[in-house]
Amino acid sequence: MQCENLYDLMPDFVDLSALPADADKHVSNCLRCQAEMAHYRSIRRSLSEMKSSMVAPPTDLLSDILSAVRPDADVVRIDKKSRRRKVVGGIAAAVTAGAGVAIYAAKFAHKHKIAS
Amino acid sequence: MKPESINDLVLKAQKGNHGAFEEIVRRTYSDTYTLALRMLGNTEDASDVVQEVYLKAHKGLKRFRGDAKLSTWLYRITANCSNTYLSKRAKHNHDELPEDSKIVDENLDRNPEFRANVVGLRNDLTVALEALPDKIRSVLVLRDIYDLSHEQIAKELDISEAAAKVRLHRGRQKLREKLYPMKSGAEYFGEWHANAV
Repeated sequence: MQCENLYDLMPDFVDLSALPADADKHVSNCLRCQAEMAHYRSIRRSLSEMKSSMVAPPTDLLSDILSAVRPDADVVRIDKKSRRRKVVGGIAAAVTAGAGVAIYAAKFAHKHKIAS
Repeated sequence: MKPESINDLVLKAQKGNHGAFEEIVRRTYSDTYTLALRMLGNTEDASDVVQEVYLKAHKGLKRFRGDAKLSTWLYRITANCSNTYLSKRAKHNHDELPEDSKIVDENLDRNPEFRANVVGLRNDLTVALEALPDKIRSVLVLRDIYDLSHEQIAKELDISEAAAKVRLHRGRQKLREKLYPMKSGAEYFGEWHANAV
């Protein structure tokens, strides 16, 4: 067995407790393949350990969930989504207006420059 | 007073005790949010999906028979909801840049040097995971972090088991390429020698 043949199989080998006999024979005599296996195992181990690392949720998420599962939940959720849409819409309108003013100012300045 | 077990809370919630369901939410929502964030890579989308997850869990709790752990059942609902969200997002082509998130580590009782290496690799891993295509990242997160079976992943993501395996294979390869860029044989030997002495 060659290193190149093994490289393509290594991502799947990390799930096995023992390598297939022919692969094991090669890896035990090949430093490159040992290093390669060690890299995959290290990544696999670190990924597995990530399960116990939690990302801190946004502060209002719990109250949002509890509101969402109450009987009047639909109203609350729609309100929240539409509020977010309004905020995003407001920002988009402000950006568009700002861009319009900038273009107008640039055109005005250009005309003024040509005239003078 | 000893806190009620999650199984007791499930039984109460299944009988219509809303307070018990709220307590289940309190105990599990950080974990559910973390999975959603890892699958979606965006805090706002993850928050929306988590709300969907608990709405589905609330409606479907009576069907939960307790064969699996509640956490696994919630992971599967989260995977399913996240996948639906990713499909919609792909249609609208509305991917956003991932945001920095505070990591809360529960295992701090280890050797500091070891911890530094692990945390270093984990931070690199988090960045490398976020850079993966959505379809590949979903499978990798569900299999290698949350330990779902290929069969469960295939069912929740609505793909074949073969597709799940191929995506997992590619995901692991991509992470390996990102985290350990290819080295020459001599460098491998040097690294091995340094570790051996």
